[in-house]
Formats: sequence, structure tokens, C-alpha cells
Amino acid sequence: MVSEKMSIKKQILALFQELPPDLREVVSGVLAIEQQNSSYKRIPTRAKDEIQNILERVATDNLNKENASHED
Amino acid sequence: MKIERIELKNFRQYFGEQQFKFSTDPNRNVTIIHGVNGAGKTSLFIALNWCLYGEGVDNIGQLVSKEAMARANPNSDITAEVNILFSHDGVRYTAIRQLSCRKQEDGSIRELSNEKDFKLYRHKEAGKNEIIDNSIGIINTILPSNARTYFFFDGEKIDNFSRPESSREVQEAIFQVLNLEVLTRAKAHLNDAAQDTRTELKKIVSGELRELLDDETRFANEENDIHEDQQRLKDEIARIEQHIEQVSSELRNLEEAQSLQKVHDELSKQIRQSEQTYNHTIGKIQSIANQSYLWMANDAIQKASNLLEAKRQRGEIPSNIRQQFVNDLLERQICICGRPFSEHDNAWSHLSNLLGESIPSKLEDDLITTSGQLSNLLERIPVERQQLNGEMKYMMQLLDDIKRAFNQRDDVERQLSGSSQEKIAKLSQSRKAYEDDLFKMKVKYQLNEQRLVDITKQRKELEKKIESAKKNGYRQRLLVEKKRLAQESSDAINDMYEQFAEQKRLEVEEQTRRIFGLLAWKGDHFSDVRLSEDYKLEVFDRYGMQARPELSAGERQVLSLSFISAMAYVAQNEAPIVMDTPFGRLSSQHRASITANLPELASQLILFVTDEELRDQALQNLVDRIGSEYRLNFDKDTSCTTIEEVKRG
Repeated sequence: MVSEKMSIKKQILALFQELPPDLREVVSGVLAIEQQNSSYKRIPTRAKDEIQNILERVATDNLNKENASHED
Repeated sequence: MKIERIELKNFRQYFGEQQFKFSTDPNRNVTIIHGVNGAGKTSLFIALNWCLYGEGVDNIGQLVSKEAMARANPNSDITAEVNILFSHDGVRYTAIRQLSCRKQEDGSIRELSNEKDFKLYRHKEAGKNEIIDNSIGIINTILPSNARTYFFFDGEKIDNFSRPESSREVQEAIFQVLNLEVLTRAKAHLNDAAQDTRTELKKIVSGELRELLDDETRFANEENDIHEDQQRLKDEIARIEQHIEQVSSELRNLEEAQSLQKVHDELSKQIRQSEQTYNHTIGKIQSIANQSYLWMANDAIQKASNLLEAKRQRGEIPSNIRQQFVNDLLERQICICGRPFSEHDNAWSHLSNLLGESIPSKLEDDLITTSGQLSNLLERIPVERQQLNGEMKYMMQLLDDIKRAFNQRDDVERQLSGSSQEKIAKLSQSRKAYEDDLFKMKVKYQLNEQRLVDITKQRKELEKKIESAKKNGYRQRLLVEKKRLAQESSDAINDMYEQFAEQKRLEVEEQTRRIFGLLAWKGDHFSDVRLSEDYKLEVFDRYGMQARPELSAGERQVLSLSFISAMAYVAQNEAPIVMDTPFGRLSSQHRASITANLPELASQLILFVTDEELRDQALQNLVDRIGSEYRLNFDKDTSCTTIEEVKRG
């Protein structure tokens, strides 16, 4: 009975399948961070930095791709 | 998560090293631990919570075995330890938590602090274990700390969800078990990240981009303020509704007010139902209206459809089999009428010309498809217009119904307020005042919602302008891109959140109804279980009346258990259900119905029971599902517990 359906984490990730890949990467990364820090009432600074790191990484990838397509 | 084994070392009354093995067999998924009161069931329950989450203990000093302390020499160390082996998603883990103390010369005990008192290992192949750095994070990913209380619980203390004022607890449980809290936190923290990036960006830009960012900040701040206001209004609305229900309940109990209050209740029910249908109808109208651009294009669609039809009739758009068909005729050199022909005669030339005129097959297919789609659109337009007219008329009728019911209810309220009995008059007047406040708050809430829609639209337009504004250098471009990613990710979560939360509420409601029907021994007496939009868990009897105020303590426990099992089912997180004294307050009928059904509702069921609460039919129901069983023997001479494995037949 239990194994036939998706876990709630997978159900939530499936909601974002239609998003562009960059946003999907940000959302899934941030959800994982939030899950790991769910026992804290306020988000730890370390976790805030991790969110900034994901944004920085995906933004950099996007700019690199944009630059590469201009060079082509 | 499936718990495979717990090892205890000098933990409370478990002196020395002792262990329990829990059943992980899906067909025999029940583990029973028997013990009289004080034998150590609750200590085992504490061991589970303390080891995995470091919680559940008020006085940490009480964790170390007193027998171990008594036997230790002065200045020697004693360690209490709980070690749990469990599996999750095909990976096995061992969690270890320790507490070390030193026995002083005077016999007292001093706790030795140890920052690394919790360790989590991931089992790898060939018996090797790998220590996990982010151990608390991983445990929270497997079974979040705030959700575990809904899986590891004291059976006698779980009727929280079935009390009338429990909607906050019910909502909190759903938020935590179904990860809705993770979504709301992710949304808020992405908004914060967008704001931080905007602030950083403002330091290095000027001119148009700076102005646009200032405007965006203003919108973001207003949006935040409104969200906070909405939460405050929601809480206030729930509080006022509770007051109104209390006053109504008092009036129901006053004999002289009963008949008028009954009419008041009936009219309130009508208003509620009509308002729900009205909201649903508005949703339908909006959905049809979203397609209304088609109506504007009616003439153009008709024109295009006529054009394609004319071409088809002239044979300029042949069927998609034509090209292949003509090729076949040319190859076989036999006409469709059966007459043979040869290369370069009239029939051959005619067919070859037809082939030359025919358009490429892909385009041919597209034209046929387009023609079909245009006809379909033309057919839909009058149908949708008719639907919209129908829904609009229905909406107006509902508005009239609501208005009429409100007027009738006001009449009833006036009669109650003017009652010669002071108590009735006062209660009715206070309810009227609450209802006026409620109305104002609901209007304010709706206005805020509309403002949020407008702000989001304006903010998105600004976002586009910021993206296309001139940027100097890589850092500015990078920050704009970071801000876009944060904002759009937050918006994406926001867009799906309400619908997802509502879907999960309905699923939990459906499962609670189903499970309560299985577990409540007088299931036929109860006709329905509902989880309202404001998270009130309600039971209705066969007369359609709210039955929750009359539920017995046992029935309230069964309702709460049904709700917990429903959440576990909807979440599908395969967490074990661990219950301390699960049946203490239940009648034999409830014990029998729960033991007959509960093993099917959980992936793993661990029960800490006294012999009195698990016997007769209840025990018989479980026998075939028991995979592991222990008895706790408390030695009065040493105050220590030893574990004895029970082997059945």
C-alpha cells in the first residue's frame, strides 16, 4: 500500500518539473536546505549562505551560457 | 525509515548493554514490548527520541543508570549510550548518542560535556561505515524533528487533534508532516535572498537601474507587509469564529432560545454552503473568461476556416494519403478504374502533374490538423458563451440566496437580541458584534488579496525592465541574474503552494474519514468526518449533526489516531508508528478494531503495552502480524530492567 505512491518529498519536487532547468535547480536545492534545517526555528546563517551559493552558481552558469552563445 | 535495532548501554534502568531487534518484515510488521507500569517502556520511548533528536528528556542527569553510578569507582567515567540501527530509502544508518559523567570523590556525578555526543554513520558495502558530517540535517531529511511527534507518541495523550479548539494543532501537524512548512520557509528565504541581492546591487548601480530597483524594493516591502497582515487577519478570523461558535453553543443550551437558534443554525449552514458554491462558480467563470480571447478572434477564425475549406473543395489541399496514392498508381501503371497506362501517355502525365502540384506531406498534415482545430474552436465559442451566461445567472441567483438568508438570519438575531431574557439578549448582541467584526475582516482580507495580485503583476513588469536595463560589467549582470532566480523561484513556490496545500488537506480529510470508519467500533453511527478549510476536524453523526462534543475519550483518541495515520498515508514517508500505552483508555471494542486494522496502515508498528491493555481479541488480531516481541522484567532488588525475548508457538 505504502510503496505504490511517491513520498511527499518526491511529490513536491514533481510540482516543479515544468519549470525551466535553472529555476528547478534553485528550487530543489533550497528545498533540500530547508528540509535539513527544519528543526531550527530561525534559519541558521550557514544555511542562508548555502542558498546564496546556489543562486550564485546557477546565475554564473547562466551568464557563461549566454556568453558562449554570443561567441557562437 | 525502518528501525532495525536499539542498543542501550547504562541508559536509565537498563544497566550494562542490552538490545531490542524490531521487525522489518512487511508481513509481520508489528513489534510488541510488554511491561508493567514502571518496567521501562517509557525509558525505551525516551531512548528513541533522545538518540535521534536529543529531545524528550527534562533532566539529562537522569539518563545515566543509577546502578552503573553506584558500582563505579570515584574519579572514573560512566557513559550512557543509545545506538539505533535503521534503514531509509535502501540505505542503512547507525545513530549513536552518548552522555558521559564522572563520579566524584563524594559520590556525586559531574556531567562531562562533549560536543560530539551525536554521531550518524552511513553503512557502506563490505561492512564499512562512513561518518556523516551533517548528521542533524540528514536525520531531519529522513524524519523531521518537528514531524516525529506525530509518529512517536504516547497513546493516552493524542486526543489533542479532536478537541474543539484544536484547529491550530491540526494545521501545524499537516504543515509539518506534509512538508508544507518547508515550502513556506523556502519561499520566505528566497524572498530574503532576492532582497539581500537587491541591496547589494543598489550599492554598485546608478541612474535608471537604481530607480527601478528602488521601486522593486517598495513593492517587495509592501508585499511582505500584506502577507503579514493576511496571517494576522486569518488568526483573528479564526478567533472570532470560535467566539461566535461558543455563543451559539450557549444559546443552543438555553431552552427559551433553542427554537430560534435552530433556525439561526440552519440559515448559517445555508449561507456557508451558498458562499462555497458562489466561490466555486466564480472560479469557473474566471476559467471560462480566461479563454474569452477566442471570442474576439471569432471572425478571423471563421475567415481562416472558410479559406481552408474552399481550398480543400478545389482539391488544392489533398488528403494526406494523396501523394503516396499517386506514387503507387504511377509505379503500378494501372489507373484507379483498372485501365493500364504507360509512361508518357495522357494518364501518366496527368498523374505526374498532380504529384507536382501536391504539397509536401508535413505541410499537408499541418493544414488538415489546422483546419480541424479551427472548426473545433468555432464550435467551442457558442458553447463557452452559453456556459458563461449560465454560470453568471447561477452566480446572481446565489447572491440573491445569500442576501435572503442573511436578511432572515438578521431577523432571527433581532428577535433574540430583543428577548425579554437578559442572558439571551446579551449573548445575541455580542454575537452580532462579533459577526460585524468578522465581516469587516473578511472584506479587508479580500482587498489585500486583490492588492497582492496587482503588486505581483507590477513587480513582474519591473523585473523585465530591470533585466533589459543597461548594466555595467559582469558583477552587475550576475547580481541581476541572481535576483531574478531568487524572485522567480519564490514566485514559482507561491504559485503552486495554495493549490497543493488544498489538495493535501482534501486527501487527509478523505483518508481520515476512511480510517475512522475502520477504527471506530460504532462506525455506522458516524456518517462523516470532515477537515474544514480552516483545519477543524469535525465528526458528524447519522443525523448530520456535529458529534465531536459528544465523543468519548476513547473515540477522541481514535479520531486523533485516524488523523495521524491519514497524514502518514498521504505523506508516504514510511515512518514507523511508535506508540507508548496505545490502548490504555480504550474499550475492548476499540482495541479490537484498532489491532485488526492498524498493522495495515503503517509500514512498521512498534507498541509498548501493558498486559492489561493487550489481551483477548485485541491480542488475537495481532498475533499473525507480530514479527518481534519482548518482555521487560523489572528487578525490585536492583531497580534494573532486563529484556527477555518472547517466542510464540
